[in-house]
Amino acid sequence: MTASLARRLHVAILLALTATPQLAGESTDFGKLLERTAPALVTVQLVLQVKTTGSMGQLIGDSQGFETETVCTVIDAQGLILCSNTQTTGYMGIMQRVMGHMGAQSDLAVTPTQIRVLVAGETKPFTAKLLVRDTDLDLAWLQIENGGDRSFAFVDFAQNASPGAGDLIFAIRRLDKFFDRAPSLLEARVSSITQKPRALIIPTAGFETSLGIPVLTTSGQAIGVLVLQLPDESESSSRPGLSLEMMGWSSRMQDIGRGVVLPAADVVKATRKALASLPEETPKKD
Amino acid sequence: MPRRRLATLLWTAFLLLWMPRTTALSAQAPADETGRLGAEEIRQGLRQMIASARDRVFPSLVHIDVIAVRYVEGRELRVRRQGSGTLISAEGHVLTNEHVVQRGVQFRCTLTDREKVTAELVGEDPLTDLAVLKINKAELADGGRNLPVARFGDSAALEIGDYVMAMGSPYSLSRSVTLGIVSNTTRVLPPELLSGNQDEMELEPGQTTGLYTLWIQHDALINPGNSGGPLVGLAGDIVGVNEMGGAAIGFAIPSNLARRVAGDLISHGEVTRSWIGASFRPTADTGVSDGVLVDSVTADSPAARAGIQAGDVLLSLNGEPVNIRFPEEVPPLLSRIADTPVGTAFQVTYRREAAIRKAQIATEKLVRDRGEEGLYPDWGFTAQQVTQKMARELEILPKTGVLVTGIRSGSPAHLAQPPLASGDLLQTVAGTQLHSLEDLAAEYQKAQKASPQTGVLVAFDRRGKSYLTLLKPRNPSEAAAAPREILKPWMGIATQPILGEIGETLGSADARGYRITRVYPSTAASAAGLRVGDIILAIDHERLVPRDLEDSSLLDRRIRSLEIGQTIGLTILRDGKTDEKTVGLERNLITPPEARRELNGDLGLTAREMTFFDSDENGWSRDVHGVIVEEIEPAGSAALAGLRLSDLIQKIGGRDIRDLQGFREALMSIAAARPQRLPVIVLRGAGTHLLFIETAWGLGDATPEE
Repeated sequence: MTASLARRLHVAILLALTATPQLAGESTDFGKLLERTAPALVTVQLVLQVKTTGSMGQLIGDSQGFETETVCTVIDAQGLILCSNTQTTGYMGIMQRVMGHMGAQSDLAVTPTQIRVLVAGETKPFTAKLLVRDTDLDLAWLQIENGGDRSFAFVDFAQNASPGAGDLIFAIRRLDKFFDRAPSLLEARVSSITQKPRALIIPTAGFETSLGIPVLTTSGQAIGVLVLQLPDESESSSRPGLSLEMMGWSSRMQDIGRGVVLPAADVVKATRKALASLPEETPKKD
Repeated sequence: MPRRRLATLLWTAFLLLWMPRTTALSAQAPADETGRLGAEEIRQGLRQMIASARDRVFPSLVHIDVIAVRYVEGRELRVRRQGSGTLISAEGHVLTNEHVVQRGVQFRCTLTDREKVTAELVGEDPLTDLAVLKINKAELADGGRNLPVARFGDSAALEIGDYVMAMGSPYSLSRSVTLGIVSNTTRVLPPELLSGNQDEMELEPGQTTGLYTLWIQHDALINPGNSGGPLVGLAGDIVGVNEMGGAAIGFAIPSNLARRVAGDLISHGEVTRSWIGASFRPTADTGVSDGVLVDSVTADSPAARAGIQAGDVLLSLNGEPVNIRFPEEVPPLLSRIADTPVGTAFQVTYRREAAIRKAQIATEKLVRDRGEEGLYPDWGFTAQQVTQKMARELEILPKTGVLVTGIRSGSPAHLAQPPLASGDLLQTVAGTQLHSLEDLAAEYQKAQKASPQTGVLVAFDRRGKSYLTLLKPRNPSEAAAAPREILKPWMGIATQPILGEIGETLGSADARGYRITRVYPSTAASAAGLRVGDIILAIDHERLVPRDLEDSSLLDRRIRSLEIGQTIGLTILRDGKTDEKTVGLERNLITPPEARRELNGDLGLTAREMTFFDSDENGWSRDVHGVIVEEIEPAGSAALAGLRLSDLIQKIGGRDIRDLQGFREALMSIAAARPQRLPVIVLRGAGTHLLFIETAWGLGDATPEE
């Protein structure tokens, strides 16, 4: 990120602060919420190499590379970053699922080959490494590699809250680079809390397209992170044959294909497991 | 053609050929009472002649194996191609077709004694589709001192109906001979066959061929693989070089043309020709009764500069009248121009709108249609030298430069801002003006030696606009590795949900749960005594009831939400009775997609470590080790050796391969020793197979794909 971009981001935040005065009757100071949380939202740029075989390979070519970027959340001062795994794989997993049998008959390997992290206020991008991922929870953990002794702004998911149905909740994302990646506030209410396939908080409309970003209470406490929850292959009722099931999926995608909130407590637990996974290699079975 | 008529023609042709040569044989082959030769004598005589002709050329026949490269979307793809050829000199020169050796990087010839020998390209002439290789005689047991060499015959003496033999390797079946007759001695291919005029016939996109050729059409059966092989007359001489055909119709380049081209290629590495930049149309059916019509004139060519225009009627060249009424007469005219020394000034007379005019046309050297092409893997694109013809066709100004022909997806060229694209004309790289592919190669080598973080500034032209972009090579430390999954608990079973109706059919509505379909060996589940058929009803007394197929993974998700090392109680239904089992959860195992991989460019393969699931799926016992072949580069050393996807490499170069690290170490050791032949033992299905990787073909030479 260039210095001018960083300056512009600060200006954007200040404008947001000055342009949205707290309305009478509202207890939330949106400006403070944005100001406090936005620095922990980083833009992660990835170059993805996609290798496919089988039907998908014939359709989209056996090897493709492309650049994508996503907004992720820094979750500790040393530059540990939490992303939606779906976004770090360029949504390729969804494509495979939606393609039904054709997708199931194809091998798809998505590998990030370059990762850059744009941090607000920094003039140069940081490099980062993808540590580990959890496809069940749709989480991926990245570590900034060249942060030195710098202390990064972060969202503390350990300080969390559990909302009830109907509660007002917020999420903070960054706009597209076309809009200078300015921070942007999203508002919704808890529409449902489900226990299947796991404990999840379902927001009302407004959060659908955003993944990997924190969801907060009106007082700024972390509720969780927005993720995508997709059925396993065996759960998708995919049947053999030339699949037109993708047509059927279109109706299911209105629920399955939208962002849902993985509770903060589960994020903390998963992060602990993720970090514990790192030092040792998975043994082989003899 | 009706069979009876064909037989009559064959007999007539045979007698015409045979009779003048039977005088000496007549004493041995007595005539019958009527003075005619008996059928048996004729058959024996013909057989003898064919055998004699065969024996004079057949020993010189060569089967050619080529590894060629193609550039597709900024990547190099290797392809294997096979063809035929003939030894034409004691030095080991082999005459073949250009399209056999085209873009070849490695050549190997198999002689008729079945010995194999590598070869090098001496020269190629796409305009006639001819090329010359030279075998490395030192590789032969006798040093190639007694190479059988075929001789050229006079193709101009061929007549329709003459017997000819086609020799070569149809469908790679080496040392094959077929017999036929000459069907036509001056064949030009009609526009209907070519979808255009003969001067528009292309050997590959953008490369003209056949301008100077009047083919020998024959019916000696040829097929793919015969290309470049000799067409042999009954005198035992090469009368043509088979170029194309099939379905009992073949076309051969006349030996008189082939001999001249081969001589130039051997002497100079190329064929030098004159060019005036005009093409011609025969006058038949045009209303013009003399001369030849000028069909087209290339802009800024010698003909154009001399004032010649399309529609003019050329009447004479250097005072000699020109009369071209039929297509068969065009190639000799073109040859006449091409064969003059470069710079020759032709005095021409032509007619335009009834006025007779004169002009002088000074020839220029005819250059190749297509420029050389190169691959720049670190930048991720291929580029081609711009030739005059390309510049004209693509309307490129200035006429020199380097044209981007392909971009690899995800490469620095693709990710640059702005990205490079096919059709861009590279003007400068790092400030250096590019005039040729050599200039680009030099800048590429410089950039490779620089820091990987150093970007290279490139100026390029796109549709008349001049752009700048920066190519930033990838840091090798950022090489792709398959991301690992978080460690999670696992029991070591596979299950299916038992839904209501199946449960009821099994005898109890309470049977709803998760039926075990597989108990993996040496896992917590097998240690706990779980069996296939058991139905898991609850975990720690918490009931699990699947309601639909969408609940297939509910049990797995529940397990994965627990902790590694945790002990759980399972309530199971076995033989209609419930039972309790205690299982300690262990950590999950890596799956094939997560397995580590190793790309070896020398062998042209990617191998990955073996996982527990590979062993389980293939029924391999615990003492089976190795690495699994996951990708094979087409026409790479591994592919040529016959390795297949999913082969388990157990031994390579005599070294046992237990894992990926061992594989890596073995290959490093082998690369240092550089053996010519590398034995590999793979487990494929139920059996082991011994394969030989011929390292002389690729070890250390292959270009690995990134």
